[in-house]
Amino acid sequence: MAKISKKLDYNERINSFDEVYPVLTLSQAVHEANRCLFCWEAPCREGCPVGINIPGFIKRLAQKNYKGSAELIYLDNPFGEVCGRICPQEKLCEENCRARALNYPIAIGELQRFVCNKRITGDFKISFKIKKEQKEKIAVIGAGPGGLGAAYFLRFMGYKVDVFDKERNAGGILRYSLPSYRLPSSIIAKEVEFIKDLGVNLKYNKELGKKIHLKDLKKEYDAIVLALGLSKYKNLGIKGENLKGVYYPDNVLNKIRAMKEPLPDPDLSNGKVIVIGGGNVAMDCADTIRRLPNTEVEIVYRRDFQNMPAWKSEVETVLNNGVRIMFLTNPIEIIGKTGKVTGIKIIRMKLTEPDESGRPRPIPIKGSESIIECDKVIIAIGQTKDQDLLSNEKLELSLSGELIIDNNMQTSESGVFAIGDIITGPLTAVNAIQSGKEVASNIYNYFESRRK
Amino acid sequence: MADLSIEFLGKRMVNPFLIAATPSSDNYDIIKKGFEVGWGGAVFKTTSVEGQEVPLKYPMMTGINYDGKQTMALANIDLISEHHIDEVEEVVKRLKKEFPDRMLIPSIMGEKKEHWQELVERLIKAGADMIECSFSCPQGTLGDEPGKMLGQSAKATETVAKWVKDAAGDTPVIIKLTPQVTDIVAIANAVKRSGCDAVCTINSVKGLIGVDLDTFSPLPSVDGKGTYAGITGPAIKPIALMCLSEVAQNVDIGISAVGGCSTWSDAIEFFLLGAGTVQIGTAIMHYGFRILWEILSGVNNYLDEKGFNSIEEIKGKALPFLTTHDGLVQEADPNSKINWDLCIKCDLCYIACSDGAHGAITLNEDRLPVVDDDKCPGCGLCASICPVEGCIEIK
Repeated sequence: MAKISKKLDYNERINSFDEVYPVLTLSQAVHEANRCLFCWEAPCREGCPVGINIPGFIKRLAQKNYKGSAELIYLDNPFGEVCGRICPQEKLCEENCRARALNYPIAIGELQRFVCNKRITGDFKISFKIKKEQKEKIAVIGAGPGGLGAAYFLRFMGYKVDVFDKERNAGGILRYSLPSYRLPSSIIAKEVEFIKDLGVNLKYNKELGKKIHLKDLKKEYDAIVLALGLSKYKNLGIKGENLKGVYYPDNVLNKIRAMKEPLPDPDLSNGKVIVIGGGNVAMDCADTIRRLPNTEVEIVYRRDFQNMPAWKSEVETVLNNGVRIMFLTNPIEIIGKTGKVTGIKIIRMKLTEPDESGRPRPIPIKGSESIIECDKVIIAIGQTKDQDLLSNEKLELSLSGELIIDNNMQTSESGVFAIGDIITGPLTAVNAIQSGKEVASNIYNYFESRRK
Repeated sequence: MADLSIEFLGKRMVNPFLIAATPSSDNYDIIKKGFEVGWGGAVFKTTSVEGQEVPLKYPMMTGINYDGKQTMALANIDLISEHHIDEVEEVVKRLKKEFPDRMLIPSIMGEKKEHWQELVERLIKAGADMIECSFSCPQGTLGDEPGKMLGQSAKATETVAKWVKDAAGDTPVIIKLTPQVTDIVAIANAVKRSGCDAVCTINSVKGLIGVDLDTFSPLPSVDGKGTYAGITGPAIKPIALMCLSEVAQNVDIGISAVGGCSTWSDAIEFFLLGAGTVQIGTAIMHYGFRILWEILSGVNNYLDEKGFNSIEEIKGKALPFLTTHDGLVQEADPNSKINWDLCIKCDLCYIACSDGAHGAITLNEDRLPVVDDDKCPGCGLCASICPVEGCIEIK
């Protein structure tokens, strides 16, 4: 990522949950905005999953028309400030930036964050008018980026939208897979507030299959959007996973989110913590726990550095922050005494021919087992869907248990649509928002065709 | 290494670059600093007769920024020097002693004949090499006709210039002109008739740099009100080049040129259009006296590369090629030539040609711009706006 903002110093970032990269100053933002070439048919826009008018918002920023700039961003994305922070811009808009051919890409993400931050800090308010109220009511299940994205764009079109979530807060995966120093809760809350201001209703503590059921919702709503996400973390399927001291990323990230600064935590701090996994969530867990007092953190990952799914910049940050990584190592058992974790048994791995993911398959090296003593284990090896949510619903599933949808994202049940990670597998927030945008127009067409 | 020294109005100068009449030439210390850096001389900040009050108001400057860069133009409501003529005399004496090879050019402004002549006599006696007279400060209303500049009347210019020249005798006199006249040649001819030795083109351009959108006060704003200001900086260079070349083509008189010169290539343009010396103000105020080193380096390399031995060899070299629009005879049939190897596919040439010119550029499947030679008359818009050096040529 083309970063202009100066990273917090080691001591500042390691002893706080402050954002690692501060928002740009006005001078930095205006200078950077003026570097933008204002390309025609801008390729950056093509690289943005939700198609934000990037040259437009940057030109307005350069002219210090912050409100007009933010209007362009929020027109295409209700999570303008969230995405300005957490999108992998170097693989999206910035990857396509033509200024790269002159020197280096424009820091589009940081500029977007700068503009949206001005809205959030109250420099101006933006509000969109609903052109025409429609009679249809739509239920969205899941208040993550996909569900809220769908709700936002459906509300734009004039539909009445209720969003149900099993938690007490909106944001979904934004809350339980990201640490606050990368995405503060206050930012999520402000963006959710904006969606509510548009007229979207949020209903909390409503878990599908328990408190709400599709058959009841179908009576009350004209369409339903399932945006269930991948809300469960995978387990390893090895001995010892039920010991006290074994945690999953949501236990760590969502819990520590509530802390203003790193403080002792009865469960997570004090002692040695092993984090298992090589993705961004594993890095975030390790880096979060590393900030707690008297805590030593080590990551165990079965492939090597080259084949880690985590972004290289994230891995570097974690290493710089004093976390060790054991590559080519896999856990085979979690060991405990009196029901409590005391260590893990690991085995060394070697890489062989590529597997279905295209990366070299890791296989164990016989006789290389050893034991590492530790006090806690965090298992961060990926997310999966919560099977219980749909177990009582009559929706058609594939042989492998995946929801089946048609070209219009409609499930086997008429009027019930499904979007986001539950369909696509784990992608970034902006992809989920994009699928929310797409389903909104599909639902519009669905109603139109029903009228005929 | 070319010879950068020149002769101007019969005097030898170490180089042709003068500190213009600005805050950068308002006292002994600051001019000394400039001379230590290497400036060829200084036109002092304008001084007037004793007893005249100089009612300065602050803030006195506001810049126009363009595409993220500061001071494309700078507006000031500064007035003449606050220093008493006695002090200026002392400064001239000291600097003459310490820097005998630098041109000391006090700038003066008066109302009555006695004022002008007294100033000239005192300053020449103190050691001034030349005298510059401001007939054209657009700021303030010091003078008989508020809002009107002396240099806007050929008759008044001739009369007053003659007073000054009569008092100056053999010492060269330069009259600083405003670009805001119907015919600058007529004014320069009036200076010639007066017997003065040179003109200085141009003074700052009277303008209004902007308005505060919150308070509605024009800028710079002094307690909520603003007034017209003198505009300087890169934005006024085209006006300065026009005035310089009109005088150089039509009047046989020395010219000290000023107005927006900030780089070595700007300076070369001034010489090519007939400047004898070049004065620099805003670029010093922005970047400091050190900007001279960058200018001298570029000028020297240009002369070497082109095979010239001195600045005098290039003086006025562009003038024979300057004609009227009727005098332009077109034989070639130019077209836009776009180098795809350099093209970064920003497609700005496409949209510019489409909405601002002849619709001669289309985009191919790879988003590369394709010129339709039948539609393209070679207007030059695409080459002017292309962000890549050397990517588009008109030939």
